[in-house]
Amino acid sequence: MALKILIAEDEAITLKHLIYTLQQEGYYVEGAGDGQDALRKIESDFFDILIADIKMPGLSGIELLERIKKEQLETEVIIITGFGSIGSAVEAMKKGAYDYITKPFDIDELILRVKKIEDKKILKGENTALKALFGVNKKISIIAKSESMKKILSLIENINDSDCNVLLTGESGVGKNLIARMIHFTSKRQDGPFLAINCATLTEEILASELFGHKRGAFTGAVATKKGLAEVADTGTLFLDEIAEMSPSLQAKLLKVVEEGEFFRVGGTRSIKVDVRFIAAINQNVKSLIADGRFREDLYYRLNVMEIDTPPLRKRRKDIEPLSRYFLQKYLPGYNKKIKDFTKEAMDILKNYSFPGNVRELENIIERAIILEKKPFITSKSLPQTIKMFHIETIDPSNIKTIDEFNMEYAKQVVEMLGDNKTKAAELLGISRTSLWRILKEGNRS
Amino acid sequence: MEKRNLLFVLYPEEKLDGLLSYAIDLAKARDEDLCILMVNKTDSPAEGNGHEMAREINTGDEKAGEYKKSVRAIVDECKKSGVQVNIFTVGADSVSAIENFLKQKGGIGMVLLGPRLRMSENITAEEMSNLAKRSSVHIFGMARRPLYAITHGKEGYCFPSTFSV
Repeated sequence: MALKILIAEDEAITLKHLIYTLQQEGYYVEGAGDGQDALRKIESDFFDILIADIKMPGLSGIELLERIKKEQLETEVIIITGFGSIGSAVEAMKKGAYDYITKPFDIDELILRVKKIEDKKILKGENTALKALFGVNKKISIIAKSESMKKILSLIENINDSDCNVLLTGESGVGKNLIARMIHFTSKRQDGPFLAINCATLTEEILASELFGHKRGAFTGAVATKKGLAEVADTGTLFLDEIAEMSPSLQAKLLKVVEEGEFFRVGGTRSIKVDVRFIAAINQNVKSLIADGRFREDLYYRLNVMEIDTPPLRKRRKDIEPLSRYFLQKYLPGYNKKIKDFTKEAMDILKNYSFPGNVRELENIIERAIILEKKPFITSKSLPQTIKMFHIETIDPSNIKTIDEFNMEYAKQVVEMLGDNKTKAAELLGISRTSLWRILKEGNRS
Repeated sequence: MEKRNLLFVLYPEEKLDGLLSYAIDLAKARDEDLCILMVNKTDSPAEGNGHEMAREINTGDEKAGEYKKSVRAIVDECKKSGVQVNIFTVGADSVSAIENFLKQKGGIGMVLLGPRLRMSENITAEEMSNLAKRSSVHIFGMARRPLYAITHGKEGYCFPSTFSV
């Protein structure tokens, strides 16, 4: 997006000339005939750069600089001083001006200074985006041996030319964040910023300010005007994790941005236009959230141009082994251990566990095992005892078993493990052999 | 803002061996705090569906004494593990207790049902299915593995109550 420049100059011809020249360079430029006019414009809008003559009727360039530094810290100021007034230029620099230029000046010199500011702003934006990435490399790879994950990867590849909004669904810890990054870094927007925010971790006020920015004085603590993530993510992608946790009023505001690409800063009066692709993630049952009125249906349809449902790890067990090996390699260097692989027993335990915490839980288990393991292989002993003790099943409405069916399956498991020895099985289960026979029979009947 | 919570639903008489450490590990892996809902199935619903902090239970009551002991043990273990815990008790049937709790308290990331509750004959498959259908969060049930019971003996092994024929 082009930089917004405000020029405050009382000489009409100079002002007109400057506006024209900078517009020719591709900038969005507004002019103000005096300091007061410039101040009014600053108060109602955000400008990336202010170019101000030091001597103006009403409000001088220095006074304007002081006001703008209070109002909009991110605005850079270039002061135009008359020949021989170096003292004022020094004063301006001390008060926070980016640079100064003395009259008469070569217009190319001014353009050069504006371009320097533009470079600085681009670098700053990239830095923010990189910080948001927490150092994660642009090259995203997803481990996928299961058919379901392969299908997702192929879908991502198919939509790399498209600019549609995407809704990611799936339980917590399945890797929705990674998928969002992959969508961005394989898309046409890959050179733009990728910003992510978790809507569940912030209060409504902070989330609004983070997303849409705020004007100075919009609320207690808003000491300076701040750009929101929706603005910083311009030309890039904004990933909204756990979007269903957003309040209804914020959902309404977000809907406007998604639909029209326009929003107001908190406390702002002028709309800001952006070009952002939205990827949102929900880890709950969307239909139930809509039915409860906790998630706006219209927002759901706007975001759900493409829906990608990532299955839980227990439904793609083929991925457990390669993921375990990946995490082993990831954490080994940090603990200075020489572990080669997993024992078959340890891997079998992992493969048979349900992982309600999904990939994130597997990652924790592997890191913990690396810390505890003293042998060259991860053994079952370094895996948490509890994952061996319990079987975790999801209560899936489409797959509910009757108690008789459940009991029969359970009893069958015990019988099988004891080599079909029903007497032993009955003894272990604390029931008579006849009762065991009845359970197996009744389960079959139901 | 507070972290989200893993809601762990238990009968008060549930043996906690291994269960609590499992719930703590899972909460940690999910970067959530722990919320324990003790469903007192023997209480009548007339006593109210409201949730009461377990620690506020009348100390003179014998049952409350047991609760207090159990609550103390839970709080201590969570404290040691660095997981924030809130314990609630409710005198209602399990399904409506969970539904009411989810309605009243936001920020629940998932529901984990203790083995006794999951296998309870007081909850029908239909009720469980309806609960899962109506709930916006994922519900998981725990069962103790027979393999573990075999390799470790009967100790620490809890057979579903429905087997008591």
